[in-house]
Amino acid sequence: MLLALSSSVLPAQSDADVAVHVLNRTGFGPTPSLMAQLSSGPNDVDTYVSIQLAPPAGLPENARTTSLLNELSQIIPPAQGGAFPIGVSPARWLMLRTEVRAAYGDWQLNEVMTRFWNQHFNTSYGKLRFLWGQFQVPGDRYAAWFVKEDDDFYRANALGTFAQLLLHTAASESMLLYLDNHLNTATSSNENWARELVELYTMGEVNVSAATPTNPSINYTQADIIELARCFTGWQVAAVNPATTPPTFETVFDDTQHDAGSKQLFGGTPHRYRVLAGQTAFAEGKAVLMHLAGTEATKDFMCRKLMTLFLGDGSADKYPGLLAQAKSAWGSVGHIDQVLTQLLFSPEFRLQVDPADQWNRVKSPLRYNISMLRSGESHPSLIPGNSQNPGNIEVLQMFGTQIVIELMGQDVFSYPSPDGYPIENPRQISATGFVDRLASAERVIVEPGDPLAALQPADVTFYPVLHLVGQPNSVLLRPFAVADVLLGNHFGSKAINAVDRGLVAAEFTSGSLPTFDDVKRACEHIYSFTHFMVF
Amino acid sequence: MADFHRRNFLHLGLGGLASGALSSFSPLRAMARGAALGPATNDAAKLLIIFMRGGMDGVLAVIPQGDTTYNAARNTGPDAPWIPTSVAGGSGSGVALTSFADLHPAMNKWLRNGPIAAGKMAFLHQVGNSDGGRSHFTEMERMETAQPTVGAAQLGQFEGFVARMSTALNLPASTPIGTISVSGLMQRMFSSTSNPQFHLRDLEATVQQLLPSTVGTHLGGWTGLAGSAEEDVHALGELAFDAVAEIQAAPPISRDPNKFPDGSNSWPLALAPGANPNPLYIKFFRDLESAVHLLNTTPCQVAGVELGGFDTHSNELIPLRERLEVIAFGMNSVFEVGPAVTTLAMSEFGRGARANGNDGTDHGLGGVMFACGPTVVGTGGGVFNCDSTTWNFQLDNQALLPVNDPAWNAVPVRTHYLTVFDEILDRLFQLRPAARQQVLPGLVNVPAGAPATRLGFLQ
Repeated sequence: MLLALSSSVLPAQSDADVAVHVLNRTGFGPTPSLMAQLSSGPNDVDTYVSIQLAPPAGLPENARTTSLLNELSQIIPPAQGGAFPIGVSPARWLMLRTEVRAAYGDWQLNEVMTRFWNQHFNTSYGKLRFLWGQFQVPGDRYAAWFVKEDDDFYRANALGTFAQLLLHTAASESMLLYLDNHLNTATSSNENWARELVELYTMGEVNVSAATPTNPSINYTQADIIELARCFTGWQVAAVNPATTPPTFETVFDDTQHDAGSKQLFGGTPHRYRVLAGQTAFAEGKAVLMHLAGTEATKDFMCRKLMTLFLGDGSADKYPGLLAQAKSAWGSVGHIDQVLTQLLFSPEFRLQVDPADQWNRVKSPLRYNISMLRSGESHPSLIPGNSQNPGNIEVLQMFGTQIVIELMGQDVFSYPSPDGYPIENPRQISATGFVDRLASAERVIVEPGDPLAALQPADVTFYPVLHLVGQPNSVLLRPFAVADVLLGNHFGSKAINAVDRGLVAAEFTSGSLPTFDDVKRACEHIYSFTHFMVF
Repeated sequence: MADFHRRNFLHLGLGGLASGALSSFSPLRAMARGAALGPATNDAAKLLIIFMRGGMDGVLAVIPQGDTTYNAARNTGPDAPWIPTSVAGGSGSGVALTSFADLHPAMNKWLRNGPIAAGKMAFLHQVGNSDGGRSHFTEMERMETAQPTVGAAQLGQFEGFVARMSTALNLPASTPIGTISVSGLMQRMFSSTSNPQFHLRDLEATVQQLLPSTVGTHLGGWTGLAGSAEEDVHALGELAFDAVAEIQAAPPISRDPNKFPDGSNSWPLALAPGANPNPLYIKFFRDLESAVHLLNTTPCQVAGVELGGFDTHSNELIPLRERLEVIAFGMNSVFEVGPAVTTLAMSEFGRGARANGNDGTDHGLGGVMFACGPTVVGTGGGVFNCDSTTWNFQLDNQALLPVNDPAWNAVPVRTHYLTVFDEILDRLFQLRPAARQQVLPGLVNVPAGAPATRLGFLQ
């Protein structure tokens, strides 16, 4: 059991340690450029985090990311039901949209939270493509369209309010199908959505902070689930113009299918709620959602989850004071930006309470692969393409998508169960996952003669030498000094064992300046270290 | 295939072990294992666990046709009648196992002439957590950690029960692959940070990535922080290398698509759509074949696979029928190619007694487990807890109980799943009572009476 530490502030970690920690936790990993930018002092880190917490509307991106996203946007059909180009898998296209922003985008924190909301309100493209078939339409097209719609909403509102995210999710076509609520009517009740709403998406089974040995603080009962299901009757997916080809669907709120009787929810708990009779389907469901968003139980459940995301497993119990601050910032609607402000500017997060909080999280397959791309600031050059033969997309598929989805079991938009891909450490890696990561480290950098080189456009570049830019010759001519620069950019002042350090140094020749290939091979070693598998 | 030669992997031997401790696989430690266990364990026992995730509807798998309210409970909606009983007959009806219980026709098709005819197939009804709730995630966690009463606030704190089996059997002393989770992600029942078990995502893909001559440790002179996340990762790396070496020492797998369909030949299951079988089924068969191969050819004693999609809240008939057929086909294949293997298929709970209005069922309590193997008592139909004596309730009337009654609209729990596990640990693995208690710490809390009374499904 973790003990709550005192709040006394220890001597600050080095600027590089804090920089790499912040870049790891608020994004998908450090880049050489950002490490240089943030390593000058705490003010630089504060400025960076402040900017990340307030991205401009529309999330304008750097030129390369914008170009790649534009290329991806040419592939999506212009309307529901449109076909994807031959050879383009909708599932992989969905994945690539995430990968581009995670690997190359400027708004790292926003993308971390976009992933978080996708996982928290998980639906599965893999299941949805079958579920859409009940409307006699091509399931893969509609599933991809509506999963995209949700992803876009989460991205645009990732740092907004939990209440608006919850309302969107409840009314999304994907969720209505995924958890059967579109079948939930006054005469045929279906409790699937109602159960997951309280168990996974808002309060959880118990209020962990309020639970005691004599009061388990159960948040709901089976009776509550039945009543809650009644509140969402009439929320359905319907074709709005079924005669057209392809048909267009949207969520409708059918009051004729709605059970408008009064309900009593969560009796005997601090969040008990009475639903008055006679409300419309939308008004009643929305009111319940707004209530759930503001309960103490939801605050506790969600803030704990956010602390796990940013500070690691068990951090909510380790830092109860910070948890309380986060819950206070939540308010009645869940102000995500304000909660994250509390967390990301806290001495606990900045390693001023327990330095061992750094490197205490295990990278998921997605994060592991993306962090490699970011480490080298790899960028495919702008390769001309078209909707039938996307150029850059092929390169990105080679770099990331295939590896993550096919090798490591994190199918980003098709996790099969509603609880979404887990964020806790023990679920991120296994023995086989370790082997898969070594294979990824091999694959991300291709060398002459490697079979993958035949697939790689000649002008794909990888910029590991940025790690060394600005270093004096006195450093660059000594293998171990070069190794220390590279390792420092990845790991700050973390102790790297002698064997690993030696492997990196062995790629350089004493008295000679490092070449591009030397640094590339050194980075390949770095990606296979256990040091690189945590963050 | 990745070539790790050029990555300068180091086989450091004792010099690479920071603590200077003996290698896990030294002869001295193997001798110690033998002394600790004595003759009281069955080193030859082989167990294959199939986890049917989502809450498998046991009432349709093993139909209580002797319950006169079955039709009222399960013949509603546009798809009525659901599965007619063997007495009612007709298309798609159940096939009698006993005078009280029918078997789903999709299961009967593949099990009747093999394990059922041989008297080696058992169907365990009304099995579950008598203290259970109806949350997937809580009940899976409780089942997989053998902690049926743990509060939701304590979830995630316990080892998987298979990892504890590994400890009780002292398997790490002799092999890194004493237990293997063959699955997309590591199954919870195998998880442990203090005694990590091997997880195999794909037999050929993982094993082929490490060439025998490079097996060793690339993990350097370990100097990481004890108890850190990185130390856990390091341990997994060590385990990976050692496990792959052990697997590579065994005969390679030769896959048989007639026994474990891979989609490359004529798909034997009539209900998978056309030429495009669900990838989930292909993955399941591939994992199943890998698991039984490892059980047959390596020191592995417990392997686990899983199949999802049993959470049938709507339009249940077809997805359940497909999955039951997949499970039955797979179990029959294991029975044929793994004669020493005992298979146990289970789910976190059963489903509602009465169907909902969407031709589906909601979460319930008591469910059905399937057991198949050389010592399984399958004579006389092999049905347990589904006869006129033990089925002492009426299915459709369960929905009339008060909503907050634990058994509301559910098949009650007559036998606790820990009792089933305990019987396996005792009769199959011959673990002593103290060791069984270590593996199943919740056993002492199983209510006395029927829940704690063994079914006797193993010789």
